[in-house]
Amino acid sequence: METAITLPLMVLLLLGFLAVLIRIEAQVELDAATGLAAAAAVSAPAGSPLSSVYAEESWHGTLHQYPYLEPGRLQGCGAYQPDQSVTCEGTAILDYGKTPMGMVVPIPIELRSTATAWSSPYRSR
Amino acid sequence: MVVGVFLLLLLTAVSASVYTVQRSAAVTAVAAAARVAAGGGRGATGANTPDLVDALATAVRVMSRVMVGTRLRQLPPSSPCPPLSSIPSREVDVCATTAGDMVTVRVRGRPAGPLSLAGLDWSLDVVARAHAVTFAP
Repeated sequence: METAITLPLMVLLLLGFLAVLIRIEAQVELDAATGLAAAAAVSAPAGSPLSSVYAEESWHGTLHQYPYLEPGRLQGCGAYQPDQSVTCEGTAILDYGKTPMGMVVPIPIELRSTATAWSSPYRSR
Repeated sequence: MVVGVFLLLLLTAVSASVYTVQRSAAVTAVAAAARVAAGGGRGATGANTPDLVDALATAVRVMSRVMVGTRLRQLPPSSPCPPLSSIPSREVDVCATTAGDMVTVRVRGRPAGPLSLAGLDWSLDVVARAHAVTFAP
């Protein structure tokens, strides 16, 4: 009787613990991708629409590893002027339903990350 | 039986925790390495050439502190990482390539962990991409 109660509880506890680990890991990956996107935006020529193109390419190229972390929107990575900053905000959906942890976290969670990069005052092209 | 299951679940949790730390280090490593590569190399001709050599060294340095018992293999610059199936257990490959003006740094392999059983080992396949910065003469 005690075993029938204890074992499922222990498995649920383990799944909950793994869900926390995945949440942390997903945030690390989103932070890294958004940081790279901001850096990519200021690597484009100043005042150019290429900033958002570079940022999107870096962001999607970095954030595509696992099916349970779906990239959402990337905003704010537009054109900049020399010696100004670019602040990008990225979102992603962490879908536990695509993992065994969906048993303890049945609903998707939206993650957010913000990163700022400063452009060089001498950047002209 | 309960004690045995408890110990097994505890070992799984510890193993997952170690893997999370290793994976976080790998993500940090490829992001840092991509920025190094995008910044350009040394010397007069290096301004518009991605610095793949220092990028690879940066990635290995960041990961080496948490990849205990794992062989970190730094591939030559511009060499793509081999498929995961051909990388032996307890080995992680680091590679950096360029395609156009885009730099790609990848970490792929199976790091050593507390629960490194055949078929149950955790695998890593992390990538970061960045545009190389170009400068006018």
